Amino acid sequence: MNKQVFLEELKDELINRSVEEKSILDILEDYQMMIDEALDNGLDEEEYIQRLGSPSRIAGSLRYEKRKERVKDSKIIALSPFLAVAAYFVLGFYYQLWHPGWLVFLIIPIAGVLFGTDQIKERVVGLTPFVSVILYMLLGTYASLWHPAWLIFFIIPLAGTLFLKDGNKKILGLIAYGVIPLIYLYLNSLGVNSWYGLIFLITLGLGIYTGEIQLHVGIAGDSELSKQYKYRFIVIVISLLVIYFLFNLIFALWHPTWVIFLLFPMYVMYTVAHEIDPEEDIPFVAYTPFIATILFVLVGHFFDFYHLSWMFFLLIPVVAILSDRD
Amino acid sequence: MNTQFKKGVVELCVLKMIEYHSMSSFEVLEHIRHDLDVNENTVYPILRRLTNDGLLEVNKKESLVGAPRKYYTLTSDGSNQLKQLETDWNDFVTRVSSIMRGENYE
Repeated sequence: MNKQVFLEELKDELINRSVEEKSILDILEDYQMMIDEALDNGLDEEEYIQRLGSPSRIAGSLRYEKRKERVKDSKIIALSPFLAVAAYFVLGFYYQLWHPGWLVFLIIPIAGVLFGTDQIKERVVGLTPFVSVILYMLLGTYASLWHPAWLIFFIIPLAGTLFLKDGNKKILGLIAYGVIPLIYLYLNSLGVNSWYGLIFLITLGLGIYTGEIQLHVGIAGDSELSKQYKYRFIVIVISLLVIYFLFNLIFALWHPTWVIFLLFPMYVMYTVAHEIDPEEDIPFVAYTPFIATILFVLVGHFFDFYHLSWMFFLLIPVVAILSDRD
Repeated sequence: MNTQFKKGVVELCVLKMIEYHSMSSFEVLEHIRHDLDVNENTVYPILRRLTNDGLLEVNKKESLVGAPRKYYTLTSDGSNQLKQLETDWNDFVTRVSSIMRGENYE
């Protein structure tokens, strides 16, 4: 390992262990000087670096130099699940707002984002998925604007675009994720025929051109996945998209039929597991988050049972406990 | 050498060595390795801790060879701490030696 690689790995290890930024710079400078002085004294660079030990071990020995966590912020994050449960029950029992009251559970990840970082960029980009889900559900529930309210999800890539350093990419991103959706919204309001949806081909094209959208099918950590499965997955995703859009253009059940997309990750897990080891099944507990979400949404929506259907999420820990072999 | 024996004395040795003259991290590691079989992972965190505790201070000085180097020097608090550690060590060595000679058990 040479000095450059050693220092890069050491930096990564220190960052992963939440060491203060100033300390990281100090430590890297110290090790750089140690190695330089070793070289000046005629020692071999790689031998000396080997003597210093692995970056992982070095970072582990410096573990006490952690970033000082703001105690108050950590407490707010820790309290958020309990606050969410309390708010959910108040909204449900007092205001019969089981749906969309379940959205209060999003304060848990929102608290994590708001109080877990000082960086404006991380806060804005981190919050946009949750803000868009909340706005989408509220607009859909109270104004039946499932379409075109789905356009709100464009604020996710738009937020990422705002912080790009490359000026050209920023402009193209603003066009792709800001201007094009607004044009679509305008055309939609005019009531013209729905072929104007093809305007999103411009978004797709700009996204691919800037590299923000990359088409790739594969399984993380598995470069040997057969071509047969890759094409099968592409066909399934496209089929689900076509079914979803065609069905809802006729029946306008955008919510809750979006749950159909949760079948895809379950199918992928099942298929990949059998591809890797036909003898071994993925534990059923791995499917339970998806099953619980589907049941929660369908039972809640069709039977107006959101105040009870949240209990399907208890399937996850219950199945985990029951299927634990230890 | 027994690891447990070494554990307590590295800090004392580091402070003592730096009391003689300012040293860079590299020099501290090379000198201490000469007499004690200690890992670099043991010594460097001690240097950082002693610096953060105000017992050592770090100054950048021009080096005769290569880029400027950081050198550790003892602060007045470090000097006091060293005196205390030396006293404790000498007392400890005397008592253990007494036990080893069986002076109180014959």
